[in-house]
Amino acid sequence: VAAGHGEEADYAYLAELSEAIKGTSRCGFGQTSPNVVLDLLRHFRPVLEKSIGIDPGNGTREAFDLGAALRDAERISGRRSTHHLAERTEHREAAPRKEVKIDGQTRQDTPKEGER
Amino acid sequence: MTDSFTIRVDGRVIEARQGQTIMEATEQAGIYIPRLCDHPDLRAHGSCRICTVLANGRSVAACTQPAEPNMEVKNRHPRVEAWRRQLIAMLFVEGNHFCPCCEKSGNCELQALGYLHGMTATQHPHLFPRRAVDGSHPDILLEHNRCVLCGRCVRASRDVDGKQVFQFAGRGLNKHITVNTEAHLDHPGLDLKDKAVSVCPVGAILKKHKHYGVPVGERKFDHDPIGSDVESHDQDKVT
Repeated sequence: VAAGHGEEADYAYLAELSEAIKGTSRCGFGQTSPNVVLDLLRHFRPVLEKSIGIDPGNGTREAFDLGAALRDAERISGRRSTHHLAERTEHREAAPRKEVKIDGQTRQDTPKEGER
Repeated sequence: MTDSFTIRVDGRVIEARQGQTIMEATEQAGIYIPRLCDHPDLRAHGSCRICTVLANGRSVAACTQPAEPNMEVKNRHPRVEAWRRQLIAMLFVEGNHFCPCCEKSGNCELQALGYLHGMTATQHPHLFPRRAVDGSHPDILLEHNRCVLCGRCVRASRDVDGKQVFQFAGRGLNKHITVNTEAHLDHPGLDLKDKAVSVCPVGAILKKHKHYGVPVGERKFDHDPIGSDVESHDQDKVT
């Protein structure tokens, strides 16, 4: 959450977990220690909202960093993941398409690397 | 009897005697309160907290809390059941519980409680602890990966078998069951017939050479959820 990968659901999860620990603990430590989290959720909501992953504008949240999740695997295998290829394709598709006419037919064409 | 009184459990009025715990009173009346560390033949421990109920609005462990006259107990309450589900989910990630390959699968109380509480997947981050398996005893296997630290074996060995073979050691995440000898499980004290061997709710203490003896479909919890034996006991009494 602190790294900006938080999601709304994380707060519900934290609240539910804290309530369970608070409600079922035998001694005072367990009964009170979740208060830190619960108070944070209750009184510092606006601060927490800020740390929710940024909305890239398409209705999704950037809560999941695929690159970071694959970093360990990349290190072990010694090669870059194919998702970097997908990333490049996405960029290409995001670039404006131009219409070209081939044999009288109109079709979409993606600009070449150098044309962008 | 003069020392008997009534308590209400989820709106149902049941009889209880002075000195009885909530668990004992409900068990007698055919009401099942989920439990993991408690066992009818052992002294209550109150450590797993699965049997947490709301008694007069306060959360208490049913296995240790004495019943009081006119006590209002909430057992099958959404809030209480949500707590229990969280506790069970936490136990699943604290150890290494791989049900599909476990010898205890189908007879395991932790697994059965997971099903009873509608747990479909683990939600919390797994701790994946490194725990050694102790196979030094000729007849008994000690699988620490599946231990939930209920302490049933500790109490059974001490109070029923009179041997004190098992003990708790360590604190917090390092807490574990240890065998009361320097020579691992190969202790002249521990015998296959010991209560301590049969009370384990999970697959942590296993009898060797008997694995997968019962086919799927005939195991303890294959058809009826955990607690059915307690509740059917009640129906027998009514008819």
